[in-house]
Amino acid sequence: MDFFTGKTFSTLFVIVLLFHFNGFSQGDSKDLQQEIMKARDMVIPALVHIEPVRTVFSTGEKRHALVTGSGFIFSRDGYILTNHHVVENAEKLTCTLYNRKKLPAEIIGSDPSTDVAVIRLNLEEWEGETLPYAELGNSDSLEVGQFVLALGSPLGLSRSVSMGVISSIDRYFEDRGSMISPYNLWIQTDAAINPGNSGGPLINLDGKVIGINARGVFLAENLGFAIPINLANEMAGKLLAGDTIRRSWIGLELQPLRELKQYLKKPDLSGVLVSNLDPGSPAIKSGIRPGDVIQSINELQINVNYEEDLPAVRKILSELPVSQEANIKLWRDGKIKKITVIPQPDPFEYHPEFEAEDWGLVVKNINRTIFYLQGLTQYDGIYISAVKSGEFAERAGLRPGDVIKSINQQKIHDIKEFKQMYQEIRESDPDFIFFEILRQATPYFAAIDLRKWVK
Amino acid sequence: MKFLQLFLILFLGFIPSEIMSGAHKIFQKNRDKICLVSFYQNIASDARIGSFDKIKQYRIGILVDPTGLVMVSNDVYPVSMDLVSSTGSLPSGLPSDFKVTLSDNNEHSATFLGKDDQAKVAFIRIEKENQTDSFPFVTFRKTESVQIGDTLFVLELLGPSYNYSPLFTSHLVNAVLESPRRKFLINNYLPALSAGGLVTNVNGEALGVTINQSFDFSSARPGDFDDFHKNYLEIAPSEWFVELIADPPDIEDNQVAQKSWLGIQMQALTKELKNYWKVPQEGGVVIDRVFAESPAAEAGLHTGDVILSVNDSILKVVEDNETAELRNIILTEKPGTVVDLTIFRNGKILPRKVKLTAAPKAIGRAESYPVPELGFEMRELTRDILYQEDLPLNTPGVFVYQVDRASPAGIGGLETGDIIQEINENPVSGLDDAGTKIEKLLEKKQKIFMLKVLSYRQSRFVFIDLEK
Repeated sequence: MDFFTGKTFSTLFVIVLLFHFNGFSQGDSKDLQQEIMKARDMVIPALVHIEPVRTVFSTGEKRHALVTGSGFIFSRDGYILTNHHVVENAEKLTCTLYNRKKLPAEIIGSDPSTDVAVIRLNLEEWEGETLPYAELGNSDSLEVGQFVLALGSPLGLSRSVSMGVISSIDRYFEDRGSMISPYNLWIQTDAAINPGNSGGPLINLDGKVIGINARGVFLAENLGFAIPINLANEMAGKLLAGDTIRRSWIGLELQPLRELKQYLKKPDLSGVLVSNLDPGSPAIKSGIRPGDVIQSINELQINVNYEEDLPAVRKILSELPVSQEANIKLWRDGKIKKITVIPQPDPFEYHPEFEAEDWGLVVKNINRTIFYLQGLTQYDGIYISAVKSGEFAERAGLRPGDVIKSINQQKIHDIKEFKQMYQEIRESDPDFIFFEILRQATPYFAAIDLRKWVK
Repeated sequence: MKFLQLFLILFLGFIPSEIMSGAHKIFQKNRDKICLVSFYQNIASDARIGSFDKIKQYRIGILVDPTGLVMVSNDVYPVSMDLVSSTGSLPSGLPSDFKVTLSDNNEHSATFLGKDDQAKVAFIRIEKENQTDSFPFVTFRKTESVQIGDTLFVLELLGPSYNYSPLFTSHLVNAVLESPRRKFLINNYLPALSAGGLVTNVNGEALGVTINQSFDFSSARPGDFDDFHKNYLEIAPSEWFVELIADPPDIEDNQVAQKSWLGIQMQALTKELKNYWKVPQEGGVVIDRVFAESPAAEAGLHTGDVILSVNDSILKVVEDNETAELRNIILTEKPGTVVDLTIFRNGKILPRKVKLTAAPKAIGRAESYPVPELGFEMRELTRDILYQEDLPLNTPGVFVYQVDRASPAGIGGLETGDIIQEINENPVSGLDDAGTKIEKLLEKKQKIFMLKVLSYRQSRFVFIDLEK
């Protein structure tokens, strides 16, 4: 058994090496190097380092945290694509460009569901040459195994490039917890994606952007995820038209059909299984039930065999025109039923957090995760994401996680109404602020006695 | 008395010499009434349904009657028995294989009887070899005269590294707490094997037992934390449990202590709320939620009502962690008792009579039905679950109490806490119905089970494939 000794082993090693670089002669690898350099040079000038000054309340104490991320210019007039999570809750944005020039930027729009954000450089102080920008490629024609580069700008001036291949083009994350991406699949790559190059471009060897780097997995090696650029581009278009993405809602939760087909012994059944209906949703009103199989939406055939097929259907549903009848064909107990449903605007619309500074309170709109985890049954109310210690709200007994239902006997439906109420109370100066809240679905009362406080 | 010399006897703390000799007598007088209790805690195994991971545990026991009744800490069985007793509840079977080692080193088998989470004690009974056997035992006296500064002696056992030898200490009563329930605090400088040590006065008369420290983090706010490095020893005075010694709870006979409940969730009437609502009293209990079909619901109490008094006790609750005061008043009343409440509602003061009932049983005591073929254990859907999930009381279904991770059910994605509402498209009314349905399907060699389950009020389908 001295097979793996000395000479035999090294010969084997050389063979393995040759095999590994199969197809690359000396000249080929030089070409690859040149290609990488060429692609890099096409995009690096468009790469920006983003420094958002973010308000953080995690400790209940307002503090400004300087976080960093990357982004890239994708148009001559200074629009930048990056991640929602890079610019979320940013009060101020500063971008450092390739030539060390620092420019302020503003958020044009941001979408947490796809983690895409668009910001615009303030070009007033920009002098001279035309602004460099990166060209967008086509993420629908990607192939597993194809070389890609992940670019980023982890620190002010430094630029980083890491290379890898596309490991997968259809990674699905379950719609649970913080990893929420209901409407898209992800590009998986072994090129290093870390917090510093989050928001930076993932490019192909033609120097075209094919994705936005979004997630690395902590403590996992060679596991990075990027948002496909076609989706990002589509979202960018919508964000440029308005500051948020308005989605439609009929209130369906879906499951793949694979197991139901096995259970029913109906291998030819097609469609998607309805697992849950949001309370009070258009789907409930239309008579859809859990267990129904939806086969087509507005004549468009649907087939979801695996989890990976779900985002596409959710996207179709989210894009149905609001207040217009949609035709749904469904299969129930062997019979076909036709149903019309009238989509409504998504009750879980995203808005940036709002700080009611006088009260020591930070609030945001209720999202789907909060809705179900808090056991809510109604969509109105706003969620307390932070409470400053020692201030009004905290002394009144409010806690992070509570849902405010009313203030001074007036119902608060969403963050806009909260802002109005906050303003009114600041101006009218009442004796009390009285909150009706829900804490884990149970009512709770809190009052602030303003007379006690020196204003 | 020879065996006494076998044990390491520790005297600690400053004891004046004239008490010293007395102290030793007190130790001698009580030593043979303290015993070492061993048992297996049965923590539900996630490897095989219906099986348990057995963990051997030791506790201090006190013999409390001549027939061999032994009182131990209630943590021998950490499962909630009813809705008013909330403990950190792991899925767990009854503790088993109890052994009691007396001070003469003789080991006796014993059986678990039951526990009371309010009194923080549990009871086991020694299986006597001869009917005539009689055991030395402790008789507790009343404690109303105990005050700060009194000297107490505590007789406990040391941990395994000291071979469970007796530990005898003297203390001053450092604090007497009256609310939410009377108990004493003493400085704890030597860690003992467990809670359940015997506390006596300077005459050697038994006054109470040591209990586990109670932490209530639920209403803690930043800055509220005590310095945990300074440990207190909490003492439950005998009034907590003397009645239980006379009539111990017995799970096997389904005789569990019937606890009264009102059926509300509550908060304190803070000064701000008092001023805002113009309540004519400092302190009170605000009703946040009234549980369906509870005494409070029957009496027509509402969310937002303020309870000002119960019988003749005025509630002076101004902080949320004091609301236990009301709960304790209710717990001292037997089910069936009518209590008089004074309610403040919309500026008016209203009298309300509430007939108390026994608190519904919790999932820990619910009837169980293991399905080893599929790899999960289901239980009847008890009210604590329905209240917690805010579901109607007539919600049909069974509760998934345990899922074996590597089983067909585990692979299929069934999770602990799910409520099974349909099995193969047929609605499930209750535990027996679910059991029958599953058995019939298994008899018919059904390979794929389709369960409709509810969790966090969201429904989904779980497919359990036996061929996987």
